Amino acid sequence: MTKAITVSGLHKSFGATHALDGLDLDVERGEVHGFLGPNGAGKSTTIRILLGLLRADSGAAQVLGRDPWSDAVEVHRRIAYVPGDVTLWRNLSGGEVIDLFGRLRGGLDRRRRDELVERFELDPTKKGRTYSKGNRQKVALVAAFAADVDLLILDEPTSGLDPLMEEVFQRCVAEERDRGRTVLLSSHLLGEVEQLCDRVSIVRKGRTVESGSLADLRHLTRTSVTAELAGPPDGLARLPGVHGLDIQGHRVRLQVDTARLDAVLRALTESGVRSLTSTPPTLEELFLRHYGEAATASTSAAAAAAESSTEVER
Amino acid sequence: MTATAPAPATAPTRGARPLAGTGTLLRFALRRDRVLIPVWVAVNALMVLSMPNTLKALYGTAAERADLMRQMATNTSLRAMVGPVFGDSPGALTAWRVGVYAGALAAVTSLLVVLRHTRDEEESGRQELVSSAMVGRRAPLTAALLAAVVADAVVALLITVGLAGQGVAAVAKGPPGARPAFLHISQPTRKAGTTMAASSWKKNTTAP
Repeated sequence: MTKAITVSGLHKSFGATHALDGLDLDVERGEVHGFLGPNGAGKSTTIRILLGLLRADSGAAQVLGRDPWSDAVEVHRRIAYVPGDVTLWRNLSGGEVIDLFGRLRGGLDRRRRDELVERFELDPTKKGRTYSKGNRQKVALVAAFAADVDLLILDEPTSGLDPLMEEVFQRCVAEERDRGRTVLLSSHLLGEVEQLCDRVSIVRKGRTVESGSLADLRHLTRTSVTAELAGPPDGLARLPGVHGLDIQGHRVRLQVDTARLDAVLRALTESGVRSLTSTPPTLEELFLRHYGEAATASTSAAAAAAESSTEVER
Repeated sequence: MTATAPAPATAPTRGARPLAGTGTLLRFALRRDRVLIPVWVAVNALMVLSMPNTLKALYGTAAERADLMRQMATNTSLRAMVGPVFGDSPGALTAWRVGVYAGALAAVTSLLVVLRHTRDEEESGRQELVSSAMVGRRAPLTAALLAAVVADAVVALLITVGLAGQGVAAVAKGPPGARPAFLHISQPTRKAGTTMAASSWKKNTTAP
């Protein structure tokens, strides 16, 4: 079965700016795929190319088995898109906009639309100019979720929604996945990504730096351990994979590569453990490492000196 | 790095269908402008249709009309200011006095309508949302041009019918340079349309 989206070696420049520098992306059918990266990484440019709004300079892209530029209209029959900030027509009501997109996309499930309007607590009779930012986004979301499509491309779709609606959105995406639809979700909300995404691609400066399931990516992060010991801690600095070791009397704070957790715990229990707190790797730590390597390097310059003695080449 | 080439397309290419969705977009444009277009059309038509009565007051008698023709023939600076008179009939005089203004107003209306449905949509970001649906690349511009054509056609029709109703011939039988009102009004649309189509064509087929 063909993949929903395949992108390989995509290049796109706007004058002197290289927005995409050999980007790769693979989205299987029926999965929710997270598309993450810092600002200016090339996420929106990639999405525009997938929608056939832009033409790549080089590289290959396929959406649902077709070329998105030359087969744009056919591809759009099976796609629904929600942009980051939605602008609507001032003198049209939300319901009219949803119906318009139903006509333009070639089919709208009426019952699903009504159900979604209720769940998102949207008033479809108000005019576009009276909608707040969140309500405008709800209009676009309802139009997309109610459409009869195979692939949903969502570019930061919940940036204006309150936490309650964010929950509704997450449940809707889960429902879409259960129906066998594919979702490409570009988001900065790591909680959302953690809840929803099966696989994740992280892009930075126009290239994909990491791609895989969250479980795979977590192996690459560190667990934070805080422990209060009965006796003096011993030999922790010598263990491989330990970073940021901080010993104050009998209190130990450290970060350890999750793969090396076992050895550290054994060392701690040897000294006698009074209390132990272990924080699993957060997605935030993972992303911050990829998003801002330059930024973290400058802030932890002091820690780097201490780390270098415990750092082990993996 | 996954260097595998993407699988070949599983379905035959049907082509880009550049005008897909034009009908829907046209109906949508006319619906959005359901107040704007009628107002501009009405103002234009009223301006033209009120002219015969005004002219009757100014050049009611044959003597006054003969006087006018003589002045026009001799006084070149007058001709430069108000344009040459086409003829003697009420229709010719109406076309002379208000024809250019009606054409200019129709041109402005066309410009307004086309911009509202092309440039405004692009700048506000709504066009991106629309273009992500089943809409061909040429469809938005085509729909905008057609909406302008509709507006101009309505003006031309109103003027032709209205003048005929007043007993004034709206189609010139006389000297060249006078044209049927219909063609006269639609000229600005055709000019505006060709220019915009040309620039948009270049934009869509070359770069991003």
